[in-house]
Amino acid sequence: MAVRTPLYNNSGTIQEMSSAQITELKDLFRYKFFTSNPIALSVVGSGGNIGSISDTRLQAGAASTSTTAFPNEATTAEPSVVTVTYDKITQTLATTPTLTSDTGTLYPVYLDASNNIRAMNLTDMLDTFVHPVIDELSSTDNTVTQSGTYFISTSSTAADANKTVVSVTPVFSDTRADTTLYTAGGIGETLDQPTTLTNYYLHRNIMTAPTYTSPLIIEASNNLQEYPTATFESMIENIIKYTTLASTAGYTIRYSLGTSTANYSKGSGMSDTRLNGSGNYQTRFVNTDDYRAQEFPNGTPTTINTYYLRLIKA
Amino acid sequence: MAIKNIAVTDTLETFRTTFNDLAANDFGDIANLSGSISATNLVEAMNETISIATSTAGWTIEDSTSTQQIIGGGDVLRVFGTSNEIEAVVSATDTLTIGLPSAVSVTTSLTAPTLSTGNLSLTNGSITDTSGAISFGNENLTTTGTINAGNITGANITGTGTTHTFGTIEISGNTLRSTDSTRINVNDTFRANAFESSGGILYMDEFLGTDATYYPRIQSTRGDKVIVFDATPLFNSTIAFEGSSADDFETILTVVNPTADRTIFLPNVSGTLVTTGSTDIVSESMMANDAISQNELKSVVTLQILNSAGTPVKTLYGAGA
Repeated sequence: MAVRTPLYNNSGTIQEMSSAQITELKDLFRYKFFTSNPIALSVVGSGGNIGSISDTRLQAGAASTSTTAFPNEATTAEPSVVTVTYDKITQTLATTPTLTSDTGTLYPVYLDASNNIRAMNLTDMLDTFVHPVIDELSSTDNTVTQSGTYFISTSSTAADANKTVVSVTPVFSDTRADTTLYTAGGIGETLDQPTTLTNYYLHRNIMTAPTYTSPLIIEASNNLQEYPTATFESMIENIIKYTTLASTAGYTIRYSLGTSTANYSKGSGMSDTRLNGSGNYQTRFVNTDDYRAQEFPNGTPTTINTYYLRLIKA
Repeated sequence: MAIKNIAVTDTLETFRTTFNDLAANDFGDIANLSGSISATNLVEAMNETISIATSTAGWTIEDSTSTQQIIGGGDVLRVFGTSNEIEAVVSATDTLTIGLPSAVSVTTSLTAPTLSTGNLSLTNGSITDTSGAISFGNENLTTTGTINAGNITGANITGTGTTHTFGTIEISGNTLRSTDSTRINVNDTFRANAFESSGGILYMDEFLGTDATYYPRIQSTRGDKVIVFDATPLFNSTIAFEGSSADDFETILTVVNPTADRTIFLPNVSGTLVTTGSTDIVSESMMANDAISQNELKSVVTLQILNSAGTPVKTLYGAGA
């Protein structure tokens, strides 16, 4: 672990950056992760590639009829489970960039143990900036610190300025049978009469461009120079993208849908709830030749599964 | 024989008779004149007669003004000298010696081809003495002409007039110059109270210092005190600067004895020379590019710039604490 303190030009004085200035640089890494969006999630109609989740609900059993008497409960069809699969989130990985080769002076300089000025190497950069930023991104929190990451919200609007709604199309809806719609007088009811309890939407944490102090680098003539902004930001984008896409040290980021809460669940858990009753047996006398019976969904709402959008740092 | 006189009123006859009487009785008959007389008229005959008489019985004396005196037989010729001028001495036999006294006075002039006294000879344009020396005692010699001499010696030689020339050296008033060149050679030590250039702007003298000793001095009387040395001054080892105050303090520029030809260049810039005694004077602009190495830095410290592999790409040196 080689965390370095970059040097900067303090009005002509070469000085180590403060922790606040280093935080600003980390914010820049974060911002570049956000803007370059190497692991992008989007909402599609179906066929999403990070997993399928299911919404289940009860629907009424088929109605039974008799010309002589009401069918008894035992012979009346039981309510059944309707399952709707949601695979609406697709993860798109950007092309892994070629990590810019370190010619020895690619990265900012720091003061080494001998008080000489030395250029950071890739390990220094990863230890000082990239990995800590990815560690911060990899959180169950959803704040500006996690900018660029996605999360699930039950709201179709952004909660604050540091969040945005990726799509107003729900990525998951928790439905249940609407028991109020089933009546004995209507036996022969439509079997599946659901109601949507909760919609879940894909959101993203965002941020504005941070202000920061450019560190010093060794320029072509081996002099010290403030890192040119465009070059510096390009280098940062290259390394944060490369690491989150292709790190072999456990710092790639990916998303998955599932019931596991391992790694980092992002946002609201998407609960699949349904009624847990065994059927509400009802009869209907239509005429002396038409006796009907049907079992409607009933019971207490019960969470069958809770699904999570997970950020996996690996 | 009486005087014959013819009045105006006399008659011609009177005239005739008187004349005839005069010719016959007073003048005589020319035919009767002695045959030894060659003259043909009475006057010339008388003169010839006197001449014959004096040549036999007397003589005539004549001076430089052609004044003559006949000295006849029996007459005494008295000859006198003049005091301090000439003296006459009569001696036997029939000798008259004319001489000069031991002390001769010449009232107006003395003319002779050569005038000698002792070893001294005066002749035309020349005064010589066989002793090789002529002394004028303590007298003053004055001439309006020219004195040409092989050597002139004297306690004091004073000339009047405006220009005096000795050989090719001319003294005109207070000006000394060469008449045949633009240079006077002094083949000896030349000493003067002071020396000035022709315009007086260069002044050399000696002055009495505050320590009561004399110092030689070369001055420029120009306002800017400039003296041009179109030469290579060769000093012994020291140049001293008095500064604006004549006191006991000087700044001395001296050299360590060179053991070979050395050249110290003064740069073509204005500024102040820096010495080992100078402090806080060397400025950035005085440093030449690439002139200072780490060896010149005090308590040198090193700052290396290393690449990410730890290889120094640049080393900076600075003065330490």
